[in-house]
Amino acid sequence: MRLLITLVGMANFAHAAAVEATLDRESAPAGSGGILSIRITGGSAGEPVIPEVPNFIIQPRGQSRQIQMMNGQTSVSLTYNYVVGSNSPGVYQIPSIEVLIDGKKNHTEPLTFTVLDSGFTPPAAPSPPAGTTPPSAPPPPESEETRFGFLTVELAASERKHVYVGEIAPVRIRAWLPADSQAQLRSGIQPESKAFTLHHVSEQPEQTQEIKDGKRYTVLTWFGGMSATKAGNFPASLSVDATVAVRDTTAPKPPKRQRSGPFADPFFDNVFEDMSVPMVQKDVTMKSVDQEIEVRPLPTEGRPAGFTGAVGQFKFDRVEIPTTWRTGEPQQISARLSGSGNFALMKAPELTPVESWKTYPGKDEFTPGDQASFSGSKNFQFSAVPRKGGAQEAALKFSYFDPAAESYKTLTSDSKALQVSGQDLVEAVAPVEEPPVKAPEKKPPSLVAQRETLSATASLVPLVAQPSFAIWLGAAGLLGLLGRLLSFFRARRENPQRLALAALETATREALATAERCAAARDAAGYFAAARLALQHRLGSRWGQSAQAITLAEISSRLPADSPVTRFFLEADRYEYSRASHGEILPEWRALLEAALASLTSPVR
Amino acid sequence: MPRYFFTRFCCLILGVGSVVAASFEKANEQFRAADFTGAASTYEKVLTETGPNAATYYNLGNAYQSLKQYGPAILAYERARLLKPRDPDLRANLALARKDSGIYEDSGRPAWVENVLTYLSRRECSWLLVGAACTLGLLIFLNGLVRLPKTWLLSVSLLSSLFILGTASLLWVRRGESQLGVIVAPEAHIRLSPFEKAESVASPSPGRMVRLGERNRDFYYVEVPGANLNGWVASRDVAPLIPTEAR
Repeated sequence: MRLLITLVGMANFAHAAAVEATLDRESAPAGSGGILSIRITGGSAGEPVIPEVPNFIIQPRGQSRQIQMMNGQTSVSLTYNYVVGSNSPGVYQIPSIEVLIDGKKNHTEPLTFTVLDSGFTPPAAPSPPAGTTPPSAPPPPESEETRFGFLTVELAASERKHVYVGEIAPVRIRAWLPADSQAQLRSGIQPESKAFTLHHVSEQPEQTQEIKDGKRYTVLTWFGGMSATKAGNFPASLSVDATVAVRDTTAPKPPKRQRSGPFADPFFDNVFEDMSVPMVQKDVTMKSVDQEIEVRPLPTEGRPAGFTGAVGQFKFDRVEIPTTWRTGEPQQISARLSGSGNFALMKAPELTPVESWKTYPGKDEFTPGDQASFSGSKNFQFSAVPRKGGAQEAALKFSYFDPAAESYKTLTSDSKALQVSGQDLVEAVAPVEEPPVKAPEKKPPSLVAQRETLSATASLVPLVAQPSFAIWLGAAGLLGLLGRLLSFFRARRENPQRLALAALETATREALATAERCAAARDAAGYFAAARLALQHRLGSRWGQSAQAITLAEISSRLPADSPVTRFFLEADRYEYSRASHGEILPEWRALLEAALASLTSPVR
Repeated sequence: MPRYFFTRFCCLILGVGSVVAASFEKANEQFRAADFTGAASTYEKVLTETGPNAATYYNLGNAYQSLKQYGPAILAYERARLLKPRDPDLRANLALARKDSGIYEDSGRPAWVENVLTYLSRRECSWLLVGAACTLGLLIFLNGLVRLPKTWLLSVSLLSSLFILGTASLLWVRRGESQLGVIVAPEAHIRLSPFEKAESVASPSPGRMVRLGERNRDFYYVEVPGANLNGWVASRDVAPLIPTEAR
């Protein structure tokens, strides 16, 4: 009988309101008792309404609140505890208990509690289910090794005293924990010997309450498959690490005290005594009893050529081979094999005749048929290319080792008539496999060789940090400056405007010198001609014209009539028209020339 | 008397040269005979006699590296690198010494930038800068004397100016290198203040490059490039990359 009963559906949903009632034991001797827990999850709940049961005591024992966070979701549960029991032996029915959650009525399932006679002896361990060997006998329950629990492994029943490599056997693994203990598993279940592997162990164990050797246990049950990996004699034991806390029965019991009120009944004495016993916690490795098994290698005699390692009993469920093909063009073939055995070692069946086909690795999918994945079916899908054209028959062939019959067997699917169009394929010559090139060993890096000759000596201090750097840069700057000076003077020297000015000045000076010479020689005509030429040079440079092109008419038009230049030119013309060949140079002429030259000197540079 | 001076000077130079070469060869033989301590000592002696020399610094680094004295080895390699910055053997051995000493120098710049910046030594950069400046100055001077072809003048001036700009930039970017030092002691401490009993803030690995600051008695103020770490290191535990006496 299941002790744990989920009463309201939707319990799998973290936020759904649910209420469940559980008993920590299904029976107790008269005068003793058990604990009834009502666990409420989701929503705001009121206090459970406890119904009355004749001759049966249900007394509140407090409440607790648990908060759990899992995958980011928070769930809060409230648990009300009650002490239940009776002084009269019999089977008592705890009726449905009503709990108001968020204004809605929720009810627990009724529970049954058996009150045994005080002289009751607990029943022997239940007989194992048919088809399994009896569980390996646990050591005496009171020993230190089993005080915190133990492990049993039940292998599939077999007449044989040996197994074969690759053979898989379904196992039921049971962890027996004292009923009032608290346990936390610290590891997965694992074989003690490396000769065995454990497959497809169920993720969530089944939880039951059982009595063994007069002691109540919470039993966690897993299902899985165990297979041998190498030949020899090996212990087929399993182990699991756990932290278990049990009541310390060796601790001194507190003195009994007189109770009053609703707990005045002597029935509660045993109950409260049990609950006041302290807990003791221990990290234990629960290990099943060693059970040595002979593991035999698969026989080599009679091994079919297409055997790929499958061990068990199998049969073809379905084979699908297309009926029309073309040489060189791949198509998919699918097949399903079912049975029991080691499906992990099962490879795709072979397409026959082998020489007519080229096959490629495909995909497979296993569908377990039981909790241990011992039985089930496997689907295969792979591609094949026909090598030969024409009509032919094809079938799938699968070889396996049957450990029950201790012989190899080969399954062949029904032959299928196929039509393959196209020419036979000419196989390319397979390249000769070169021996694998051994990768050079990686040596740790080492120093590069020494220098054998001395190199030139040099200063470690860079030139930029030496005083000579500034000297070098200064010298370069000085050279540049000197060069610029030289360039400046050369440009100045070679300036055409300046040269033209200098030539004009020279010509003017020469004309004036000529005028002076004529004046000394009393050659007035010569004087005027030379003086006029000097003025024309000055005016020419000023107006940008040729000196000879400047006439009195232009001067009169561009200069005022009273300007000394105009007046000197008028005087020169007047003297020229007077036809006098010689004469004294009058002082006013000289003054006029000087004034004319002075008026032209300042603007013309 | 003066007539024999040149002969005697040449004999002296040749004699010293042959002695130094013999010492260098002796050190190499000691190295080959796995007498790394003796080889290192002889290389040091050669350096004292000849002055800075890339081959000797390189071999000295190898000797210290063989003795697993990574601090002095890295110092010697770094000094050799000042003279021969593009020597692949030198770079390989320096990288090996850094790896063995557990030092990972990161300038914080991309690798290609670092390669460009360190392709030339500061010494070479300086000479390039001076060469380009002198070329430009000379060119301007010659152009002052005689009128040079304008295209030729322009192209050479531009090239020289580019060299000056480039090398000056490089020298400016790497201006801090003259203050670098190398931790040579196997168990050096960076302390909060320049006292032997001051609190140690870090224990740099031998061979770690540090930037040397002011000196206070027997301590250098150091900053570890790339790390927010500074303090005082005993002068016996750190050596300037450019020896003080060479400055």
